[in-house]
Amino acid sequence: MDDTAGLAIALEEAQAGYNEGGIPIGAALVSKDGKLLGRGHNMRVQLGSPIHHGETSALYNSGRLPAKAYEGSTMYTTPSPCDMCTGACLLYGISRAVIGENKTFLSGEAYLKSRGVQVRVVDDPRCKALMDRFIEEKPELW
Amino acid sequence: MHNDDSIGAALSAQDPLVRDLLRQEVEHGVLIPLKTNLELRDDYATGNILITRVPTKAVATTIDLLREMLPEEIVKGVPHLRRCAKPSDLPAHLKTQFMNETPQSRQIHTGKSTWIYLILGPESMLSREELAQALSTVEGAEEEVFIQSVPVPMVAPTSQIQAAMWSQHFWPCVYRKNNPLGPHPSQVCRHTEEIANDAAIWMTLAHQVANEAHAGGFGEPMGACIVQREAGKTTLVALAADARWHNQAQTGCTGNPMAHAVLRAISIVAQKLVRAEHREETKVDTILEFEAFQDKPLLESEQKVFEQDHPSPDGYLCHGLEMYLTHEPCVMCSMAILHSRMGKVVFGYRMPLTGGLCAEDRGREHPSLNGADGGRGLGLFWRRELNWSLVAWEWESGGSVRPSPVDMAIHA
Repeated sequence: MDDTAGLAIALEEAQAGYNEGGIPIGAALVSKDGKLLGRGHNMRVQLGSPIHHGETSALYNSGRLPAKAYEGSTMYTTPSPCDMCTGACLLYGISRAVIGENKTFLSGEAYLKSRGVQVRVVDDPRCKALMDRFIEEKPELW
Repeated sequence: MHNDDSIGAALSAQDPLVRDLLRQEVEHGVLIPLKTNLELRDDYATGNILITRVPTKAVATTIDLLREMLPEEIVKGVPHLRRCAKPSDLPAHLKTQFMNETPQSRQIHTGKSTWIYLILGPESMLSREELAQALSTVEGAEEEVFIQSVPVPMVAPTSQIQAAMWSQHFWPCVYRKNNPLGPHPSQVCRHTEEIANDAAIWMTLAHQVANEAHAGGFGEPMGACIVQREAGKTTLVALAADARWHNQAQTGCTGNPMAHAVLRAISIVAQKLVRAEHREETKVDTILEFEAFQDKPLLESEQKVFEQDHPSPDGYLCHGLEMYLTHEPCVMCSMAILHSRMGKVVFGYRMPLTGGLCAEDRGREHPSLNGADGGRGLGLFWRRELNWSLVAWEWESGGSVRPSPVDMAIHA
């Protein structure tokens, strides 16, 4: 699976979150050899919990894997990961982060890089458009 | 200093559940407010500004003149520095320096002065030549236009005392009752007083649950306790220990990161809120053999607190609640605390390499960690660019309630 396909899954998840009335942020975790390990989206509204972000949901949904499984893996996220998810990616030993867009907000990228994680920002207009639409429709949730 | 009577009083005011849960003696500790990144790094940053002096009656026209020639951001000045100063209000060293330059300057500083010193702006953004030329047109200007560079603090003072001190050392300063570098000192004082009486109870519970989980093989000896404080009454909302080794072979070094005590505690609050809405639980596609979040109660003490209903279930996430931790949370958990809108955080043991709340460079004060490179402290509890901030303290116990030692490289 390449970056386009990985990010497409993250975007699908974001759209699923949007359709559930939640915050449209999605993520996908793909192994070194291109296998999908887990996918998920932000569930703050659905579960009333601030720890179910796109990335943590994807990690949750990847179940229990040996530490080796995360080596060389890539986390795809629709916007730039927050410091919580940045910390989670580092704890799991994820090697790469591919970020849909970092215009909505920017927080953990520098820390990821400083800890040796490869970061790529794709600047995908669809990711930004979905966030913009949500923020306009539900500013109270954002 | 408190004595044991005040602990007794604080304890007797608690819900019976709290007294029932406590298995060890509660001992007082000291709350030490954390420093922010800005407080540690930019505290005494000074920059140079240019000043001039004009006759009092020409002040208004001079300011108009400056307004015409300089960008708005320069002319509007620096809020914590007085734009105008009478010769008699200058710090002593400037007074001495300026008045002894020429016979006229001696005149300017004598008796009831009719002159005013005026800030022009930051030296780096101004051209002395242009200013000198423009100011020479001011009515009553000196033959040689007076322009001097003086160092000033670039950030606002955070107390009346600091403002007075800076006024003597730099330039007349105003304390505007704010702290641009961190939580306001009076707010920190007020919150410290608010929690000082019973913080020891919650810290003791956090340590107790930490030790229970460790003894049971669930996790590292780390624990969290969430409390609501309203109208002087405190209610225990969640108790959670680290569970990173629960259903997880202790092979890797990190265990299950989603089962850190902080995440479990925050998730328990979320479950209570959802429960109070009596709505159908949102189904998450659970991988049956493994629950990554491990956010159902595992210990009897966790269960007892979990069963209690949320005291004010219409709140938003953990808005305004207090969190008591045995260890400084890792970066992930620190940010989760901010996301949850927690109001206050107290932790017992600083994690010198992995913590996310402290702003001090990581590992610096531990000689044994030389070369371990914890990097710069993140100081996540108070960051200007984040839309939420906390008041956070380190807790130092005078007694036996101390966190169990853990590897300094571990993420709490």
